[in-house]
Amino acid sequence: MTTSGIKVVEGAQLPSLGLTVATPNPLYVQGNFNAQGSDVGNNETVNARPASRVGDSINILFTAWSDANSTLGVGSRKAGDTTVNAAILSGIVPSGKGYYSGGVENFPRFLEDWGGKTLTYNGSMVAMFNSLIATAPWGSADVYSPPARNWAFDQNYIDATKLPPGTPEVRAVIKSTWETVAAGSVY
Amino acid sequence: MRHHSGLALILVFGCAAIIAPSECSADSLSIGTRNEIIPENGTVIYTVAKTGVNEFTFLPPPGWKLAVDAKANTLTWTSPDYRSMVRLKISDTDGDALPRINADELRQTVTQESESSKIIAETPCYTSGSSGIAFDSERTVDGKFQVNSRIAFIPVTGGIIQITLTTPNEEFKSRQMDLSRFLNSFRVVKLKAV
Repeated sequence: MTTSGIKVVEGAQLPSLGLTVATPNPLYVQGNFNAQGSDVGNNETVNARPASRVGDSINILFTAWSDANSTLGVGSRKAGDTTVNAAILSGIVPSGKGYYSGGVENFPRFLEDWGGKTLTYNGSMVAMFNSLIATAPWGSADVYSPPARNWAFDQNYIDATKLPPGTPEVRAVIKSTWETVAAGSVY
Repeated sequence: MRHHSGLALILVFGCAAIIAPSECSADSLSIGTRNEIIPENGTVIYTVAKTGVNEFTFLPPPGWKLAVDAKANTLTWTSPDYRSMVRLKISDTDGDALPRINADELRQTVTQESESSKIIAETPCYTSGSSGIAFDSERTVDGKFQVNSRIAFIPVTGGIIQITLTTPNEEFKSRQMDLSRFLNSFRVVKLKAV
């Protein structure tokens, strides 16, 4: 069935304060994202901006992706080395009813032949909900061949000041001890 | 990266030859399986259906029971709880051209399924590099059971395939996963003339 999708292109250089792209639709990111120059292909993220991608599903595409080839065999969709530095908050098609989700290694979804190529990913992955639009179960032939996965947690996310814009926050009220202070008491 | 090994015909209808489907008459339907190795998934057993014109491969919903009506070129899978059904109907046409589909005629086909059938949505749909039309319909059975269907009509070289999911109203959304996987796995290859 046809539904909308959002494709982010030319995202190698992001604004200095970072960028969050959020959509209820499937989100496609084409080419290097938040990585330039010598940062491409390695797990060093000192120059990366705070970034996240939030969507029904997150798909990673090589720079040379062509929409016209999307319905052809996977041999017509050759990927190349790609680097993505961003948190991913997305839906999944869960395991069950005889289907397998594809595992965390397929949490970002692939649609190309990545054979012999490397996807360098630095970030954090959060499965938020069941996908509502991109709901085809993982595991059909002719969809993708996996990349070598050079993946790492982005240590920037340990620092709350370096989290991507719009990162969900959870705050807790902590009960503590207290006492009534009598009038005139000195502390 | 597709790897084919060991075409194993398990059922043959309309012809006597089990391992030589190309010898079947043009209007026969043969069903078999084929193992394919999918990256990161291992060996997966595809169902293979051959008419005199095309070969169709696909992954039916796991654990569903298959019934074949060879005369009607129809395969029907029923869910383990017997509440839902996926049906594949193959209509061969003459020639190598991609048949044209007429939306008005297809709407009539859908609504003629039952007197109470009502189309509630109509969208383009895609499988195996071809595009067609899908209709969501609802109807009442026995005056009390609400049943929904999604019926996809997709022209392919030398034929039209009709894929139908029918399920109780309350399961319509969740069962679409079964249809999605079916469509996603669906491949059509034109057979060479013998």
